[in-house]
Amino acid sequence: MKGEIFNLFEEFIVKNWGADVFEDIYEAVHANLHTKEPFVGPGTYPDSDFLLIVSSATQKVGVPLHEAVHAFGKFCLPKLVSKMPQYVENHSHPKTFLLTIHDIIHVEVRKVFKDATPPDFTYRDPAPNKLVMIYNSKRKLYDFVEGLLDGVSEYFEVPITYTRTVTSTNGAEVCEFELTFG
Amino acid sequence: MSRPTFDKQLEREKKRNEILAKMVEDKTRELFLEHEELRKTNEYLDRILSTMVAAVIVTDSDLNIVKLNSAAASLLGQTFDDLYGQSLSQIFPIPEVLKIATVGQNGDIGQIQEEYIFQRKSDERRIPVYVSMVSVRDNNGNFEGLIFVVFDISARKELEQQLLQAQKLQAIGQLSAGIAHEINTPMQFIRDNLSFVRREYEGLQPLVASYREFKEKYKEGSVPHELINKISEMEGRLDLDYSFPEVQAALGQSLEGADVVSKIVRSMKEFSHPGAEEKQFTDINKAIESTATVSRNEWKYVSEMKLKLAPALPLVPCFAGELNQVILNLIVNAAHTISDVKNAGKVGLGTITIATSAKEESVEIRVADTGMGIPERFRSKVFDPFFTTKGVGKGTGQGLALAYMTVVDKHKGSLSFETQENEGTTFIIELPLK
Repeated sequence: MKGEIFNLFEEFIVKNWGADVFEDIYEAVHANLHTKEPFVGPGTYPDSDFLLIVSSATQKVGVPLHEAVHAFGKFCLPKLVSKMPQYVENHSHPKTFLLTIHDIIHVEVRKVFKDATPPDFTYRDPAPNKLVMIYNSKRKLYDFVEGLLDGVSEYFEVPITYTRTVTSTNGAEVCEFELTFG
Repeated sequence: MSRPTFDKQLEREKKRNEILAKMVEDKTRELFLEHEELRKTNEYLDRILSTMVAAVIVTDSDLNIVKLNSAAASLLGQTFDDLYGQSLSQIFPIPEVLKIATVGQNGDIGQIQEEYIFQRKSDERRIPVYVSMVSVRDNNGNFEGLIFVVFDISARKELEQQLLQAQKLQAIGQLSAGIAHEINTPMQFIRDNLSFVRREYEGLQPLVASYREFKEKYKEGSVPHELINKISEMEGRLDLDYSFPEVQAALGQSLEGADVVSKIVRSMKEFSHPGAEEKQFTDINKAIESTATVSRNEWKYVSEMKLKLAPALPLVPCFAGELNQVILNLIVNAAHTISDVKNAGKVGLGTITIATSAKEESVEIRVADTGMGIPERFRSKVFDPFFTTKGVGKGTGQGLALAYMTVVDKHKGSLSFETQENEGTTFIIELPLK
């Protein structure tokens, strides 16, 4: 996972619970982390390090894991937008933006970070006000995706309701997010 | 934030800066190495391009030249510096190519594999070229430019031209015995007629002398009776009432014979004239008449020839020499199959009918015979090279294959046939007017 996400998570904890709390969380897991040096944005680190920090954080702040990950997703969206505004600003509706994630945004991410492994998204477009996004990643960060979707809704000021269905395609677990806009 | 936390964060930030600085260094080195690799690859590709005999020309999306090799510079007759950035229409002004290039630019596939004549700007030389063109698109299908691979085919064209001329001369050679016979027949009666006219003329000379003597005596006032008797006797002997119309007929016949010879010689000249490098507007009816004339000895013993040539037929852009060869092949084939019918016992002459007609965008030539027809089992092989049903020494199996190549490949026309066993075959050539 990219160091950018680790740093955003640190920022998320500091913003909501303060720098001392993050230090306690980091201190508590540091010995068990695979990565001993500080995380930097362009670096790539084991997913397990991220999961250790997140689970330590949820214990520390007393928020259930799924709620914390969801909130983190929502927190990340505007931060990510500010890093790549050119891919968001020319969209006036969340649907057209979401349709570019796989073929444009993740392609650009891979150009900047050769070793990045963003999730795969495929799409179905059943109606003008609907969109089905099929998320496929071994990380299975479904709550994070939902948090991002809430962030997207807020950014475009268009209500988005969604349901998620975990299913299997070619033996791999995928998650279908069925979105309704407006 | 507590002091210990601040210190830890400060320490971490310092460490982060060190890591990032190292990352920047590593990235810079990596970029340098990749740049070097790219440079070497470019040099390698440039070396490959520079050794290619074919001209390679690459344009950007505005059809301006962005890359080319030395063969291209040589073909285009300009230096690299002069060519870079120039528009395709300036340096490679082939209208058909530019049309397809523009189509490619507008989103269609835009592909070419075709022969053209290219007029070089630097010295106005006209160069036959084989052009292969593909459009280049990015991953999203956006047009990025065109790649041309162009071969100078002057040498090949020259050889083709020589081969064609050789084939034509070979045909003339094969036809020459027949043509000599065709010329000999009128020449014989021209000679006989001229002998007759000379004899009559020689007989008239003493009579004219006597007339002149009569005129002199008359002027003197006394014409001897003996002179009048002599003139009467000479006139009786010469039988002028018979002689004058015969001389007139003999001269008329001789003139006709001279016309026949003249027509054969003219036809031979037209048939054997070296073809042009490019298509030229051609009178198809005249070409058919010439070819029918030079091949007369091939068909006259087995067939009559009917020419149903449409008047006011438009001129057709074509390689006339090669088309003559096609028509000759069809006539000779028709004569051979009619001969087969005669050999099978049929009495009387067959018929070869050559008809022309104008269509909306083409001209049609139909060469029909009353021969054996083509059996079902041979129909799919008729245009295959080296396929023949003729006896040893009579056919090489090249005639119809060459005819097909000439009509379809070189003229973008069509060549087909309708046939019925024991009734005959009609070959249909369609030549486009554009």
